[in-house]
Amino acid sequence: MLKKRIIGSINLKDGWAVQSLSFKKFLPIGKLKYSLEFLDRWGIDEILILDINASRSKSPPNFDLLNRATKNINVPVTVGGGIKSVKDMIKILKTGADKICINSSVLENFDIITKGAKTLGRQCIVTSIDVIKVGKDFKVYDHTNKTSTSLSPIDFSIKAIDKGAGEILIRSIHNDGMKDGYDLELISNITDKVEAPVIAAGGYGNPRHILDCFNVTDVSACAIGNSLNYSEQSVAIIKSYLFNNDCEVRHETAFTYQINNINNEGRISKYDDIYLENLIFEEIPEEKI
Amino acid sequence: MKGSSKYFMNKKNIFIIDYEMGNAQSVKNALNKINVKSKIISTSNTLSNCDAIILPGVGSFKQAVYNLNKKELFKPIDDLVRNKKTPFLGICLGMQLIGKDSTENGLTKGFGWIGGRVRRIDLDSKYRLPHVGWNEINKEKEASLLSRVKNLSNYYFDHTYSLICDNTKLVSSTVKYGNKKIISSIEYENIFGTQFHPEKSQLNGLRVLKAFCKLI
Repeated sequence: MLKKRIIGSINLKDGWAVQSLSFKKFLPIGKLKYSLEFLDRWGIDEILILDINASRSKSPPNFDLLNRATKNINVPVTVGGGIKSVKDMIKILKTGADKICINSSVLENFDIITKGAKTLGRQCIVTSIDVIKVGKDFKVYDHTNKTSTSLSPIDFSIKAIDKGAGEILIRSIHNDGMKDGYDLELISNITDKVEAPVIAAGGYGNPRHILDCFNVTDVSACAIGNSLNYSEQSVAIIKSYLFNNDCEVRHETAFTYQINNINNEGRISKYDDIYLENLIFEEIPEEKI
Repeated sequence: MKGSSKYFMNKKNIFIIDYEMGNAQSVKNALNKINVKSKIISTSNTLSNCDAIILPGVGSFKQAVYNLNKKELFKPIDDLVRNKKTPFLGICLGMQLIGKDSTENGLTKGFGWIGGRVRRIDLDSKYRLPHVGWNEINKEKEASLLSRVKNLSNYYFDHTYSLICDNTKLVSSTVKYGNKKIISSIEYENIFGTQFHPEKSQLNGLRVLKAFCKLI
């Protein structure tokens, strides 16, 4: 059975992993290398690295940095931002990445997807679509010009897949950073109409949101951004929560939190008293001098 | 880590073929992690003194064959594996290339070392393609490549086409997706192939790579 994936998304700005607050303010997290290594160790299924100002500043992707950072990573890495040609894609794959993410903002024409899919195979191309809610409708959002367009995300997704995209990442801009959960209406609208795997992004606040997203919609993966950096072992805790709630996720890290009760906020409760008592097998009295 | 003092166990030449579309670097990184020395090559000059070949792959079948021919690697690899029985590990597209032909972007001939064809996965419409994500493999027979792996271990898959093998005896493991059983690894004499990405499957993947290196 194919497992549902948890994708860790890392924003990159000027060579640093950053936390973005509605794409306006940025807090530094640290070196990309260490962010990646932590996620890998904690059992993430996939990592998405997005260079958030590469497209806007028209600079090429930072190949050198990617090369150094992905050296020890044994999970699939998708890279996005600043990719203009198939040559860039091949160069990125050479650094140790596995998939390419093309954002909707740079899609004046779909040529780059078609060409990329032809040389690299469609499984290599992820198209990320930013969506914003305008009134009751969903519209594709243009990041470069910071406006909403008149395009419907469903039509856009279908067209992108038709042109060669292998996966669709839907990021709801209106939910991003709100910690209120994924936009289930939007996601299920897309998954109903689209044949390729869909990744939900934007809105993660606690593990319950992922559970809802997996239960209500037919997404293949949920992406989490900043929240993974808040606590140690965040990925393992989220996965244990999902696992305890009968969700099909890969749970193969050396450490698990399955015996713990993890509440909907993703906080671990104290171990059961009986469990703790069983841990005690010898009483060692304090030495009195 | 270039030129680091890391101690490498092996003295054999393991060559990873770079044909402008594989993720050769990830494979090398993974091998580094298990202390196995390897070399990425993109020309056939030094190919003759290799002890094992790893052919990674991310891409389309047609382009892969085209690139291998353009770099004059197709014939030398074919000769080494077929006649000199050099151990060969094909990853993902690399495994598919072992087959006779593929219909991806038009019919293209592969190496044809085993009697298999590469076709688009024929699925029930409610299942999505590409088959991407972590899935558990079912061991079909005792295989040296999977000797260190538990049954139902999770591996990372990412493909739209799959190898269909006439001879089921070569199949060492399969993976279930939707209503289909897909070949996830094969073994035949000196030829090994995995449809999943061992270089991207954390510890389970490293176990497979280590098993392959032990065979050389």
